[in-house]
Amino acid sequence: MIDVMAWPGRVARVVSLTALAYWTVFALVSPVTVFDAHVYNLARLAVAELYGFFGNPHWTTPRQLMFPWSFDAIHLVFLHLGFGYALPSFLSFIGTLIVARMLLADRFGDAAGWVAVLALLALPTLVFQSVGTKNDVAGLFGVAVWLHALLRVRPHAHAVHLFFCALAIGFTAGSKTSGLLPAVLCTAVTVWKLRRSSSQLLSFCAWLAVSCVLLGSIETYVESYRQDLDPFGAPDLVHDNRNNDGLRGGLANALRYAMANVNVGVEIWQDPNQITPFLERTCRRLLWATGLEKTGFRPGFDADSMRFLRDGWDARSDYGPLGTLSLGLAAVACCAWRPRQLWWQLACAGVVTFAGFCMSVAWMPWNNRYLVLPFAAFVLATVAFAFSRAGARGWLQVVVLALSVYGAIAYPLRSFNKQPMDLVGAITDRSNQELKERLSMAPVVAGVAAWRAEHPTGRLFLVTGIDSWLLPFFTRKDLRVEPIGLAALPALLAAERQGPAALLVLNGPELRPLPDKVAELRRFSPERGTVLYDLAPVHTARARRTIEFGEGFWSAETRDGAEFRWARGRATLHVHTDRNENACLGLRAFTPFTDTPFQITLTTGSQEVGRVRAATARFDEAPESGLLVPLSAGRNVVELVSDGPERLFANDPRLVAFGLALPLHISEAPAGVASTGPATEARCSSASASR
Amino acid sequence: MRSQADDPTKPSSTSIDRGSTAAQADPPAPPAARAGDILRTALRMENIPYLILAVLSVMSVVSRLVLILG
Repeated sequence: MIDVMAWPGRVARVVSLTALAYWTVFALVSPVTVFDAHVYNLARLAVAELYGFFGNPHWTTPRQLMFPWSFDAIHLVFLHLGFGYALPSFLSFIGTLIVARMLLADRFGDAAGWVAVLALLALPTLVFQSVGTKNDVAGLFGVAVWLHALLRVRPHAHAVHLFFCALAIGFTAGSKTSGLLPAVLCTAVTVWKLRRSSSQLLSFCAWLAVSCVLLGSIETYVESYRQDLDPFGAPDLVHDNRNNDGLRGGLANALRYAMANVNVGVEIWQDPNQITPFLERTCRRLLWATGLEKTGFRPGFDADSMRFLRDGWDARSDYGPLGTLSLGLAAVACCAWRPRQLWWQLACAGVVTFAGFCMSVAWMPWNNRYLVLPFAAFVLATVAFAFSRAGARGWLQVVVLALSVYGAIAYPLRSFNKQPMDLVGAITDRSNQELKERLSMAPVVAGVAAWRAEHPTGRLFLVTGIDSWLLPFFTRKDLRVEPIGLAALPALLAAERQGPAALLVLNGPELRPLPDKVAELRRFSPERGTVLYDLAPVHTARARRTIEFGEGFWSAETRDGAEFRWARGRATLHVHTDRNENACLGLRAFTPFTDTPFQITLTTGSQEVGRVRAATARFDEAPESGLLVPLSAGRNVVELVSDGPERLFANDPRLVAFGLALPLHISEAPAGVASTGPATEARCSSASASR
Repeated sequence: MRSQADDPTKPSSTSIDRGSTAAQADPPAPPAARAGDILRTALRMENIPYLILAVLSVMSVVSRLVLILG
């Protein structure tokens, strides 16, 4: 008999194979592009490789430790190879497609199998995740293999199916925290199926135990407990990430995710998008009407700031018009009772996992990727429904095929970084393609590369904030940085150095005052709090310091043999030094007109270093005040701001607020004075007095 | 009447099942032939998801051991 595939199947096969060829190349050549991978998913592999896993004090964010890493660890070899970063996700996707194709083709013919493949390729979020490095597709793949194996488990079937049932569950559980829910559900279904065969049940339990030990990422739970006394990690973060509002929060999240996934197919061509704001407004009204407006959100988000992003980024897309149709059909299908129909089973499985995610995870704008499993189930349920009675639902087959073809072609073309030009960029402009989600990192990487080019054997340390992009410094082999935790920073700054060394503070704390032996090399903007410091500047044996008068000071005058300068209400001094240090600045301030006292506040950078009291109009009797001023090597601007008003002298056009008796003094701070404040002011004053 | 194709509880038999039946009936094959059989079985379409899962699992375990012990 000649196998004549129906025309929907032929169309689906051609489009699917073409799309898969494109995505295969993309998976091979694409650099790591997604925020989470740069911050923790893959960045932690580089940190663990340098400092080990257990007892590592150098994790740059709690998320590097608290989330399961069994799937992320697979990327280690690709970090060393420098290409193929997306292959683990893409292989997972291919495995899922094969399972889906066989599931549908075995029951409804080859055409249904190919349409199922194309339907999955038409879900933008699923496909974008499949050619990225996030671990969401891994959970879907684990469940797909589990289903594939479970359907083959029979009383006398080969034990390999039971083994892969258990292995798939362990793989799902270890891929990410949210994989625990489907893993538990899969385990329950398997135990229920094997309830009459004690030998198979025992075998399954044994394999499951082995699988969970090997793939369940036990070590992240153990180490999280050791560090935070909570196996799921830092309690604050865990609390923030989960839905803390129970059923009400779950219902609110379900409404948000459902509304955020209403896609009529034309949004990507609109500029500006008019449909998404309408959906947001409608969702807000529904939430207010049901009293759910404040539930289910992650702290920091609320109904007013709620946005359905849908801008073609990896983590900010939806599931296209086919996903919308399938979500609606699944909601209706669940109301029927057809337990022996594949479409009903898939729809119910999708609804259960959808509800589970809504109940367990707090809402954030980029959480849609958590729903790859339910939406894959919805779409396969739709295909199964369309093909379950040959010919009877031909119109639905045409609709599904049309939406699938549209989704598989249009959404990549309108995506943020999955377009054909991005594929070219992944080869010809790899560094910028890698940083496309955060272009502000480009000058930072370039600055570090420039330092490294000048100091090929030097040591380059890295301190980061919790949302910093760490990975670019490891995917580029010419940068060679050593990340250290914030807790290790004081020891690093205090250590003696031999040879060139630098420190990149990336979105981290400002080093103020600059410690001795540290000089600021370069400040990067717009990356917040990002500075490259020289840890081994060359010093002269004795510090050289000078003071110059800047803006706001009038020319020097002499009266009764004493020299002084008048100043306006805001004036600046320029203090030069050849090293980073805390120095004592000695000032004698006086009032211009009367003995009414006032204060002059001194600041350097944005830091207040102290106040000087002006209480007398006699410049020859003004007492000296000593203030500890943090100085960086080079020119420092010290600003003096007077509390007193500016006034005019009689027959003198100059505005004057206060006067400074000359000369000013700048000297080395007394030993033991390490910070600014009243106590150090007193010590600087006593040092000035004894000088 | 519901067809068997509509019933997901009755999947078609797999190559692994068939392979095991054949293996019980045939005399033991030389090691090279057995390796070839295993490879051919693994590369059948229905076993590729297993193969992918096995490869990813081994890579995960090895990578984590390297990171933890190395």
